[in-house]
Amino acid sequence: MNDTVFYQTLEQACKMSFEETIRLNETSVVSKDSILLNSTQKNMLAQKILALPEEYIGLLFLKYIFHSDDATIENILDITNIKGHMVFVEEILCGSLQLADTVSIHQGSMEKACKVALPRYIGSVINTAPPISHMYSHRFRKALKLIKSAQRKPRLFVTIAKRVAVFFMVIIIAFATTLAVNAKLREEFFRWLVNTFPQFSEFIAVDVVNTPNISFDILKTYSPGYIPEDFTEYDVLAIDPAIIYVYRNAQGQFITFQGKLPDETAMMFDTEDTEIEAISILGNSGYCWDRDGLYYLVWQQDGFEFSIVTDLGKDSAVQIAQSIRSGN
Amino acid sequence: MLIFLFVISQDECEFVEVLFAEYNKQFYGIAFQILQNKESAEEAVQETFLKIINHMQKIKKLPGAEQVPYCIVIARNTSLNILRAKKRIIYTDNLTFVTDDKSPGPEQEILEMEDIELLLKMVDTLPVNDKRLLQLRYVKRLSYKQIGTLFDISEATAKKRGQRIVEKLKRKCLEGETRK
Repeated sequence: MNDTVFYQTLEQACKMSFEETIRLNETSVVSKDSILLNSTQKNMLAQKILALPEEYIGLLFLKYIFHSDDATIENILDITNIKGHMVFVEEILCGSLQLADTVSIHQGSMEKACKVALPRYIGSVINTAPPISHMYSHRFRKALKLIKSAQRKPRLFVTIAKRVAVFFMVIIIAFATTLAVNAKLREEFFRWLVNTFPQFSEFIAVDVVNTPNISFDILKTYSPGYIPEDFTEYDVLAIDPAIIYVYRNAQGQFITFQGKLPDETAMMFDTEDTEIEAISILGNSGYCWDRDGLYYLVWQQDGFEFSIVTDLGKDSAVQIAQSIRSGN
Repeated sequence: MLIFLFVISQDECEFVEVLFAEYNKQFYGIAFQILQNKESAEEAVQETFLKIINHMQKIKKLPGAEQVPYCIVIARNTSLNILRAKKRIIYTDNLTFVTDDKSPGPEQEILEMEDIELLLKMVDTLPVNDKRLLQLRYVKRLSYKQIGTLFDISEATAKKRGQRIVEKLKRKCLEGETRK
């Protein structure tokens, strides 16, 4: 048996073994004591959830956040034996938290961990898959005949981009409650914890201690002092705790500047297959990287978290970053 | 598809209308990133909206901030299901082969049921964590980095553990062949 044949045989054997595991789980009636997780364990669990196979991430979100029934989950994920798969996933998650085989994770803890994981998951999806205008085929339009907007030609990308930005902010805010912001913990100086996942990285402010000079009203006074000449302000969005400025030029190039109050919610960026480099912006610590023709720069300044994403390259991004200041 | 659209209420029709207008590009982007093919991405968007229409009442009952994430979960998984149906991925510890169709190749045809059953017995007698590792790697296609996160070990350790298990199975398999 050569290597390729061996691996194909192994794959078949693993599939049969897995199907049997799921079948047995489906009919299993073992009852386990459920345990409540503490806050650290819940955050760890959220990280483990994001490492699961994609259909299992969906399975957990559908069950614990959207409270879908098994028939709905089967239809959406195209898998059968939901209970069997759920037992398999939950056993893996218990094992990953070094919990005993005799216990299961309490439903409330699973719900909270899923709520921490969901915005990170959505953030990584949006970061890795930007909206694309597509001229749908006649067949597609015919199939979606009664959806009028499916019959129209694609409109400008920017309209959608704005709405996606709004939606993204809304879900971050809506789901951030489990990572409660404690204003008493804010500080003038803080450091970042950088977590790198397979497809994205998150930047979380840690050791944040209180300072009277940080508020959303003050954050709103910050904007770039320099923007290349041919760019105009396309959109400004200010929803506590963040502000976003979008600039575009006639060639379709763009600059996005984002400012955010430091809290325990993460800023998420697509960093797959890239190397993150430390950088200093006028003495303030930050990180930068390049991916798919886009340049990313995140840094801390005056107690706030700032980021720039542009297709103009490093020099322009750094020049804009160095020009960020409060209008007061 | 059309039958569904005819039976949904005006209110529901408007909901899908708005959803399509605002998010079809996002869903197409998600599908294209996974499938890397215009026709397949279009198929995924169509299938996504079919499922959305199918579960419209559930979606409408969700809080506003959860409706789009729910649809994104549908779009991602629908695209991945289409990818799984179209591509066959064979993992080895050194190389990953991707073929564009699911029809059996000449090597697959010669897979013997006897060998599969022999390996199945060996897999089933492995310690539970080793068995899970193989299932996650060879059935669920996880990277060793993901497996490492789930087993709370480094990527290198996960890879080494995976290779050790496979080598052990290979050795036992060869011993079985020699005895034949």
